[in-house]
Amino acid sequence: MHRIACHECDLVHDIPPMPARATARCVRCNAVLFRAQANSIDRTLAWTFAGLVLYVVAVSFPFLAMKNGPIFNETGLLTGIQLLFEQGIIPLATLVFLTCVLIPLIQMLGLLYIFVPLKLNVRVQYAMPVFRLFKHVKPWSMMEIYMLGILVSIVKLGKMATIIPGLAVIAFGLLIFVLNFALASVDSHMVWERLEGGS
Amino acid sequence: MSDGNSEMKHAEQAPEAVVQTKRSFSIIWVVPIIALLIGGWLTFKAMTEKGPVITITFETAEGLEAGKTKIKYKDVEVGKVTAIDLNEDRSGVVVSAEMSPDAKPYLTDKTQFWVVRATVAAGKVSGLGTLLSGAYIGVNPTTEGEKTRHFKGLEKTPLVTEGMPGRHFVLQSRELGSLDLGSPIYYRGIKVGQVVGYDFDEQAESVLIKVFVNAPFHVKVRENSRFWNASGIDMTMDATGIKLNTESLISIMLGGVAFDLRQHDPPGEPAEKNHTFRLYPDKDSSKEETYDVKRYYVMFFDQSVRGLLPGAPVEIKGIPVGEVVSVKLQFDEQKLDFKIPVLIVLEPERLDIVVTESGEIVEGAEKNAEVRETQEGSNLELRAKQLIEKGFRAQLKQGNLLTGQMFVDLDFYSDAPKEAFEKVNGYTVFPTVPAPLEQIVQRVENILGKVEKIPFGKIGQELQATITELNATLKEVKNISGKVNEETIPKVNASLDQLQDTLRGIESTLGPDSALNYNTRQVTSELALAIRSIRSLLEYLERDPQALILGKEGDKK
Repeated sequence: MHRIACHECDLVHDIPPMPARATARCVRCNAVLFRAQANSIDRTLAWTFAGLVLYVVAVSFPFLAMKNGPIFNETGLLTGIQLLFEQGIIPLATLVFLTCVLIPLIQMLGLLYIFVPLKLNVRVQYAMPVFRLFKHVKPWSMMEIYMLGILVSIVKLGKMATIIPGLAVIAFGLLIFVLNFALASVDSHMVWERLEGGS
Repeated sequence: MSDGNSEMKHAEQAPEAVVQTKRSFSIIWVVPIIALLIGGWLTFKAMTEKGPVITITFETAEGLEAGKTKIKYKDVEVGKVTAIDLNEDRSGVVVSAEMSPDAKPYLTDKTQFWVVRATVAAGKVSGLGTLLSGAYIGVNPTTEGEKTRHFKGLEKTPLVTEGMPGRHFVLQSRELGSLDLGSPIYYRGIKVGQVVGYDFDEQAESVLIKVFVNAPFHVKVRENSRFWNASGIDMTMDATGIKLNTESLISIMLGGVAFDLRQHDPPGEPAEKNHTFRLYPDKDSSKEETYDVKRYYVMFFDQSVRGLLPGAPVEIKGIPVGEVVSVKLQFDEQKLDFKIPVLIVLEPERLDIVVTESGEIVEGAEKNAEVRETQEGSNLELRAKQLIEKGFRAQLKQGNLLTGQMFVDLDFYSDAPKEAFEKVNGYTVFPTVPAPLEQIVQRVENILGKVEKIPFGKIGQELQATITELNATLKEVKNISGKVNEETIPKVNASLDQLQDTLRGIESTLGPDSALNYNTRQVTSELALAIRSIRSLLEYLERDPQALILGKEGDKK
């Protein structure tokens, strides 16, 4: 039995043991305090693994090909960033690299670092700082914005050149969903509890 | 909370049931498995689709870009450049390329690679598309040859790619001249092919030019076709005016090759692939006959052979039967003498008509057979001996008075001294007679000899004596003239003075102021008056003859 403050109205509640898929609500403002996730660890791990596979595909396969008559240009996710870098748009290149490549990877690796030991009931060092870091970088993962940008450019450029979406685009699109599923499966409450209890 | 309390109450009353947690496999793990399967399959596909990696060496990587430059055959992409590096000694570049998997069977040592760049040259503009898309690597795939992964790229675009209908031929020429890759091949003014390559032959003696004649014209290349260099302008001037003859304007600028049969040649079999032809320098020379039977003779000349060059004709009665092969200078250490051995070749096939020993008249192909037969065996030597015995001799003659070119004339000289039949270095010696010029020189020498016999010394002495006498005579003449000067001329002078006086007297008598002159003028005027009055009288009498009797009418009135 422990307490949780409502993040809307700051009323402190005692939390009773929760069955799976149950939702704890604030008695005063009816805000959702947290949801008890069923099978949280398994689901998070499963989505994270799927996400990693998709991530590898998205990074290593050609992303977009643009064809205009004899001009044929093919870029991957990383080569695109490299091109931006070479063209001197270094802040943008850095931003894209961080939000779309590095932070999703950190998120997934962080999840693995937390959840694999949880699943196996072993203890690892720095689990809590890692989970804290994971929480911190979460808002900086902006793959969906990148995807949106790509969709806009496909529509805009479609008149000027033929755009051939590569395998990586599909993988990237799926990765957005899969990563979100993985994040949604994370029962932070439970994780904190377990980490605290463990240490 | 209330629910939990009631449950707890129940539990107090009844034994707790065994809770069996189902540790079954969570369905959620299907997701990463599917993802892994798809990812694995994609990777596997990508791996298997990855074609063979080849390397091509080029002199320069101009226009090539790793990851961008394609390898194309008939404009279909069959590969992609993945990396460009310098080779070890930095003399060229090594281009690594990934080919598509179905290109595997074509990667043999006969397969050619070259870089296609935009080319703008006279008569040809190509690869303009590469200006926008960048250069690409062209490939001429062939399954022939041994499989390899390392290629040497061509620096020039080969012009014929495998599979084009047509046929390759080889032209042998002394020099390439104005021909180049892509130079057109003309058949009766129609462009039917092009030069696709050139190289030295093994001894580097001549140039072998590879040409490709497109279908369906390749069958027009017969075994007896003649190829000639059609570059430039052929200008002929005759009674009808100036005639310009050229295959096309492009061939003037770029050079070109034309072929055809000679006018009276029957068409032979279509030539096989890579049949070698001789490339004639121009159309006229392509028309000349070629002769297979060649007989070599050596002639020794004592006189100057200035103007006799290799290639000079050997003629019988003005008809060429062969040519001079070489003119050399020979020094005889024994006799301390120079001689000039001239090697000639006779082409007996040039004889048009032959009357055989049996009196048969043969012409054309039969004649050639007869000639060839004579070529073999001792028949030839016998014939040569007979001819030499009959006085068949060679003589140097002036062919062109302006340039001093000479030719060898063969003819019968029945009065020529007998010559032995001999051989030098395996060549039959053809006896010679001195040239007409030499004979003239001989005659002039004879004349000079006679002139020498004239006793110019004696003539001179006599002449001197005569001159002395003449001198004496001249002195006498001088004496006489002196006397004339001294004696006769003063007298003549005096006479002339007297004559002058006399003339002056006459002048005073007859001068304008003299009395005689005045009187004469007076008499003359009087006489004129008298004549005038007589004339008027006569006129009056003519009008009035009666006046003679009746007197003047006026008087009557």
